[in-house]
Amino acid sequence: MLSFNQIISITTQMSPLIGIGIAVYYRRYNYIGLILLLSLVFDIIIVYQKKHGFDTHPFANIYILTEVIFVPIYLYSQLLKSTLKASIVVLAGFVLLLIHTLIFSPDSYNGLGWAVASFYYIVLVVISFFKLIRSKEIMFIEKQPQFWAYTGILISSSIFFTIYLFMNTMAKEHPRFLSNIWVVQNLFGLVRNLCFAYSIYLSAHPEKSQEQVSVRQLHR
Amino acid sequence: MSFNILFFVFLSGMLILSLALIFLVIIHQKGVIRNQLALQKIRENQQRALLKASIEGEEKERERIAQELHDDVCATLATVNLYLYKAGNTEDKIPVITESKALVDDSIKKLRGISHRLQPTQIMSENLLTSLQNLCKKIDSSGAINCEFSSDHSEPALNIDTKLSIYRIAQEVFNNLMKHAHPSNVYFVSSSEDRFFTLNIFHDGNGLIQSDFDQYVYNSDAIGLKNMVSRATVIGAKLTHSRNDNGEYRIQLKVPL
Repeated sequence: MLSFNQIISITTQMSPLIGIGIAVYYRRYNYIGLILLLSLVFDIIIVYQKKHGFDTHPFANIYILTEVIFVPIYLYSQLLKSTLKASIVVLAGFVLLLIHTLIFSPDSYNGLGWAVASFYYIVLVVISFFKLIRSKEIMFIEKQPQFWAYTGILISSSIFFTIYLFMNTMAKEHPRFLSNIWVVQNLFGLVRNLCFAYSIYLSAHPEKSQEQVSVRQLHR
Repeated sequence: MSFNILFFVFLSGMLILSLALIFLVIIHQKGVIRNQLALQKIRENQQRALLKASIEGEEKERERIAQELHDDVCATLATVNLYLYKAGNTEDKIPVITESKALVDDSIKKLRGISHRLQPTQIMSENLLTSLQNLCKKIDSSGAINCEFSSDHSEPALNIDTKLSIYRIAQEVFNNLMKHAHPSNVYFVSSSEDRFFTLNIFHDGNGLIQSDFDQYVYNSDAIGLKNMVSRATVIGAKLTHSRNDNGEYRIQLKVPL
């Protein structure tokens, strides 16, 4: 019999399949789909490593590194050119920080580096939301694929940021508490993957996101 | 406070902040949509009002022409008919025929007048400046108003429909000045520069500034004013009303060339 934690863990690990399935079905391949695919592949590898007693730290760090590359790339594609340039410079700093961690401490989780990366996503998402609401087109924001992608990133990054920030302290002083906290992380990972899946679904249905706003709809 | 509680407070705080941000984004966007739709509705109402005024204006013009034809020309022609009938029954036909001829000449003059008002001959021959000058001459010849026309350029490169609209707007301005503003002096100044043909009409009567004009156009039954706006909109022109420091009023029509 599987425990609650195991059910949540497996559900989260498999949840990218929903988004990937939608992307494949509608032939809608974008960065969000790629992030989901990376998440699925790395989760499978880490589960395999755990099962066979391998050290999972290097792969977990590599996963974060790839996420640090692809999440901002997706957000950059939505940003203005000047912001993009500034963001690329900041991103380079993060990538270097993570590479440094991978080279010098491959056998431990880089909690602080991950927390910084999560905070970085939060900042980028806030900028992206600002850009979205400044759009001159009349639109229902909740029908935009970007809105759901940003929502997924923002909610999960807020939670991940807190967990990663205290991860080293928890690992040293409260190891049992940390093992329970992973359930929270998994839950919000699931939320993020579902938001991404809906974002892909909306991007595959442009007629939904481009619906004209009418007075009747507004007063509904 | 234990670490666990502190951690969950921090975690909840972050979650609440991110959810609050998302809700704020949604609420803000709804507000923007509501404002834009309200603005769109106002614009639609204004367009509808202008269209209605245009139709009503046409109807009124038809009524006026029908009335003029019926009361004036038809009455004169009926008299001619009577005279001709009388001529058939009298020996001395010459005075009756002479009288009839005079009445027919009068009718022709009246019909020509109606025709000219409907379609000015100068405009038909594509000369806007001459038409405006003649309009000014007519105002001046009334004796009540001193009207001057000045222009420092040749005939503007505008199509016949645009010229006709400009002329009609000028005519309407003139009618309004006579009816409401009662000026002593009116100056028509036309200029053509920076890819715009501009007609400025200055006067020293009781004029309108833009806010008053808008008030009349969108909140009253001023069909003439609505027609002016409608015509200006159709030709892509900008019609503005202002008052300068000397107390003179200016009606400006700026038409893209």
